Amino acid sequence: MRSLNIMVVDDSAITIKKLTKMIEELGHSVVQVAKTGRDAVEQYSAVNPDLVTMDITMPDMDGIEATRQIRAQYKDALIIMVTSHGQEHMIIDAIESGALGYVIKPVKKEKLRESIDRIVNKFWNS
Amino acid sequence: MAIRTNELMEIISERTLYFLNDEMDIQVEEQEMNLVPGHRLELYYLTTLLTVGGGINVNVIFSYEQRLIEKMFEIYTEEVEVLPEERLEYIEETAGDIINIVVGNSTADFKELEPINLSPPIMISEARNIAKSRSSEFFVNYFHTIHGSMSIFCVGPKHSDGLLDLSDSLEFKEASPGLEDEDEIS
Repeated sequence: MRSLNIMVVDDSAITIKKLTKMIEELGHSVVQVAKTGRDAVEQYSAVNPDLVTMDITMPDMDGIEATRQIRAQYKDALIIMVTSHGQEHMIIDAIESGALGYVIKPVKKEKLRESIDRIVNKFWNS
Repeated sequence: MAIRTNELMEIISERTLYFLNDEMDIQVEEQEMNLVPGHRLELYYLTTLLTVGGGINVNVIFSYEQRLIEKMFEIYTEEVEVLPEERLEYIEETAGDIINIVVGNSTADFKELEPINLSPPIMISEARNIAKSRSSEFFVNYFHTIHGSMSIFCVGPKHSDGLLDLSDSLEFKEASPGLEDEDEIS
């Protein structure tokens, strides 16, 4: 798989650092970081990343709404939810908003790799 | 929808225990779970608060002894570079991440409840205690480890049947740092 340009959306500075390190170890690049859902929506068009990791619980605008807005404008946007929220309702909401994958925190590098590979293989090779 | 306060506490406590043991490799040597007598509870060095809303309405509070949260910070950030000037801020971020992960993961066990949402965590440093209104009650679980202690509180509306009516709103009072134990903000 080629190296992806990834946008990380999370309100935790430590989580951003940890995700960035994992993403780089998986051979990809973090090209943009956003700390709120609103920033993610605004910055998406400028960066046009290959893939987004999106937290759900954030100030300003949550990740479900941000995903909905990005997907409304960019139907091919690849977004993975990376969140601690494990309730079934929330996972359904995330999928209905347009997320294509769901990784539960605390994030393990192998889980992240599997999720990225599955989505990229499915949507880029179809 | 209603849930017993102690059941909610047990779910969150179990997830906390798992997080400490499996993610932090910190063994809990002793636990004490209680309904807090009186109307005031004491806090440790650093406290985080998160509101569980939506189909539920409860405040969850994690409070840490300094040496424990510093140990957890070291473990949680061992794979990333933290500059000396970032240390204090990142200790608070660690506490925020932990309550978010533990309570967020706990929602997987709230199977019968309506969709619930979590507020971003609030960090409270140097607060000494909080006081509850007559209409709310505290459940507390203390975790004692070799690296220090932490406490978990679930604060919800009080009902005579032992159930939380999760549609109720919650009054929450916080004591300011520097106040004596007898002082209270109302």
